[in-house]
Parts: sequence; C-alpha cells; structure tokens
Amino acid sequence: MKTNGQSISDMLLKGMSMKLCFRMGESQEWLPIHGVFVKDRSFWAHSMHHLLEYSDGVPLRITTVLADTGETRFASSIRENLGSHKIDQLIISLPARSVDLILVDDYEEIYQSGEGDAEAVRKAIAVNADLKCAFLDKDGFWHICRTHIPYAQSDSGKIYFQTAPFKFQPVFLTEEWRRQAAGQMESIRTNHQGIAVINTAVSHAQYIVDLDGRYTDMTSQMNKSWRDSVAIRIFRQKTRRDISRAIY
Amino acid sequence: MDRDRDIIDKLLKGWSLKTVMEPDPAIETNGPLHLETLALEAVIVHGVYFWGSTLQQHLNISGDFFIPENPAQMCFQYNNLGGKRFFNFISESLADNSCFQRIGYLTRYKSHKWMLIDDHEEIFDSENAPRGDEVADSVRNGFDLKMAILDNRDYWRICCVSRIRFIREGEKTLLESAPFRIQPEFISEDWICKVIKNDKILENIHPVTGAVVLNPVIDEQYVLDMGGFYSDHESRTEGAWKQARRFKVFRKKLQPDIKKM
Repeated sequence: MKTNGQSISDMLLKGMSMKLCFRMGESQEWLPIHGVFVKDRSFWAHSMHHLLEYSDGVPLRITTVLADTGETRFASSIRENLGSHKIDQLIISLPARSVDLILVDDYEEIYQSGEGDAEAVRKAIAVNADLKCAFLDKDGFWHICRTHIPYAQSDSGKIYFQTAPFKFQPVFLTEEWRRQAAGQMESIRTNHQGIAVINTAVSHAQYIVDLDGRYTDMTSQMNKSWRDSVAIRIFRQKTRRDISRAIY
Repeated sequence: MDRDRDIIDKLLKGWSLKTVMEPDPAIETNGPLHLETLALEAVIVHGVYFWGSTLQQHLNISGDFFIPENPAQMCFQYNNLGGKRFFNFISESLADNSCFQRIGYLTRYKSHKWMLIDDHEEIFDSENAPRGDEVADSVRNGFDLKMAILDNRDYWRICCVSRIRFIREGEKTLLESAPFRIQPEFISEDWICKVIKNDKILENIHPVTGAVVLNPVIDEQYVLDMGGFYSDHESRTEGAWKQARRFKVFRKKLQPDIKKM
C-alpha cells in the first residue's frame, strides 16, 4: 500500500490505528498502539495494555513506547514491579529494520470541532461503537486515545469522553529532548550496546474531553480546572454495516 | 435464565459484551442523568453464569469530572449471578498502591443493560480442522483478535488479544491476552453456591455505598500457545503451561475495504 506522500503523523490524525511488529531474527512480536502524541512530523506511541511479564515469580507491568522525532526513532519500556511498585525504565536504540509500523485505516472521522455534528457522536455512543478521540492542545500536541467511558447527558445535551489511560514519560516530549535524541541514541548504540537504563518521571495520561471544546489532563484535573482545546476530532471504528446488536 | 443462556451462547460465538447504563441521578456522586457505556473485554463463563470485567484501570473521577483528593485506578466487574443484582469494583490508590474493593447493588443505576455486539467472526476452533493459517494471516493484515480458552474446570476465559508472538524456533504462535484485575473468589464454585443458595449473603450491602470486601486480587493474563496449551496467573508464577480443553480465536469484523499501510 502506497502512502501517497502522507506522513505517519498525517495518517494518525485521520484516525488510522498503529500496530508495531518487532523483528527479532526470524521471530516477530506484534503489539497494538492506542495512546499517541503527535506534533508536526514527530510522534510518540504507547501500548495501551500494560502487559505482564514475570521476573523470579514477581509480575512486572510493562508499557512499550515507540518515539519518532523525525530525525531518529527509539523505543522505551516502562516496567512496574507489582510487588514493590518500583518503576524501572529502559531506552532502546532501534537497529534498522528491527520494527515495522503498520497503519490500519480502520476508523472514520464522525466529528470535527467547528463543523461537527454532535448528533452523530450521540448516535455512536447509543450503539456502543468503538470510538477514538483526538484533541489539539495549545502547545501544538495532538493527543489521540481510545475512549473508555462516554457520557451523554440527557438534560444539558452535553457529551464528555473519559479516555483510556496509559503511562508516558513527559521528558521525551520536551524540545530539549527532541533536539538531543539523535545524539543520545548514537551514544546508547556506541557505549551501551543499544540499551540503557534511564530514570525519569512517569505520568498517567487520562483525559476528560468535553465535546464543546475543553479538556482536562492529570494536572488540570487535580486543580479542578478545564483547558481550552484548539481542535477536537472523534473517530468511529469502521466495523461492517451488517453487524447486529442485542440488548438485554 | 433463557436470556442468560442466549447471552452465553453469543459470548462463545465471539460477540462482544458491553454495558449501557444510566447512573441514578438521585445519588449525588453519580452526577446528572446521563448515559454511559463500558466495554467488558475480559469475560469468564461457567455454566449459566458469566462475569465481564473492564480491562483498563481508569482513574476515578467525581460527578464534576475532576479527580477526587485521593486518586485511584479503578476497574469494574459485572455479572449475572443471583438474577444480576450486584457488581464489584477494585480501586488501587495512586498514593500507596493499597487496594480497596467494594461490592454494590445495581440499583445505583437507574437502568443497566447488557449490549451484545456481533462484531467478531470465528477463525479457529481447536475442535475443527484449521482453514489454512487464518490466525497468522489476520495478524499480518492488522486485524484485532479475541480468544476463548476452556479450562479443565469448565470455565471459558474470553479476552481480547494484545501481543502476538511468532517464534521461529519450534514454529510457535503465542497469543497474549490483555491483562485485567480480578478477585478469584467471585468466580469460584463456592461463591456461586453462596449467592444462589443464600440470598442473605447480600443482605448487609448498603443500597448506595455498597460493602467493603477483602478478597485477594490478582492481575490475570492468559497466554495461548496455538499448539493447545495456555498459561494464566497461577501457572505463569510457576513457569508452567496448562492443557486447554478447547480454544477458539475470533477476529474483528471490519469493513472489507480496510486498508493497511
């Protein structure tokens, strides 16, 4: 499939879903991505499910991150020990052709702020369609997430979405890190055999999006204040039209 | 009971389980009257009973959509035991990781309905001859998968697939489910008997705030080896595999013109 000159960022902003295929010799590992930040042609993709792995019988909860600054691409792993709740983080320089990005055109836009029809969103909620939400903040970052709980209020007609949560490392989104990333990866390749331990803050990303143009993130939720978004888009999964539903 | 059998029949054919709920606005913390829905992506079926759990541990919010003073990660489980009268949830404090569990009456909701959606099609059943390698083909074509495993105690464990591994050595295909939290006590034969035979077990639950429960909580996740074995919380901590009595794989019914890039 040709990309017709579209960047990965463009495709993500059309609602396309991303999957990662890590190649390890002749073995492969496929992983879905559900929480994405996009700024210009850079993106930061996060696995939604915090998969479990076991170390000496103790479960670790793992989040995988793949970031592309335009200049360089790297992966990171956030590993929470469920016994001690201690968090370890790894950063991995990706060898060429070690990971394929698969973009699947499986969502369609049903709402765009400014010209959107909220009724289409309300109908999608009523039939329990799988939805995805993207909003642009004032710093130029798009936040694209699966919706977890939609709220359609009866009297006010207002619609809110609580997005599915994921973990992320805020430092990777800073201008300073983006400028240094290529050099950092070169150093990790040369001096650390491609993988290094890092110690940086890990945050929860969970948003409440008000279809009328506001959102909250963790910080503003703690401060009980709303932030204005620059734009909001809602996507609905393109399931077959003939699927039936039964209500009990 | 016919309704429950019909639901279970659909679940075992790959239908997805969701809820459509109107929290009762007379309860202040529920906020104004609204419709909300939840996907119950981890399902367990045993006989005529089923349990559906949310996968995501979302952060709790109040009726005003803000995080309360003590933020916690929450997951919910709904079931049809005892005539579908109660639900339970687990919350884990972000401050100290302590877990808190409650069981509550479904009367917290003005209405609470199951929605079954026929959005997956079966592509593998261990009781039938495989049709080529539809599982691998579906993964490579970007489809989302779901799996159902029948264990030797007659429990079906149905969950969406998160990570898929094709391991060259031994030519293994491993489907790894999304993880979720569960209280094993609530799906046990013992608990089923208590609820079915003794209505009084739920007598002391407060109609609004519910009751605190102190059952152990586990982080569950299944790994299915397409050769017929699987692992769960119990066997993974021991580094062992269990034999699946039967297993099925389903894929999401997407529009036929879905493009992959």
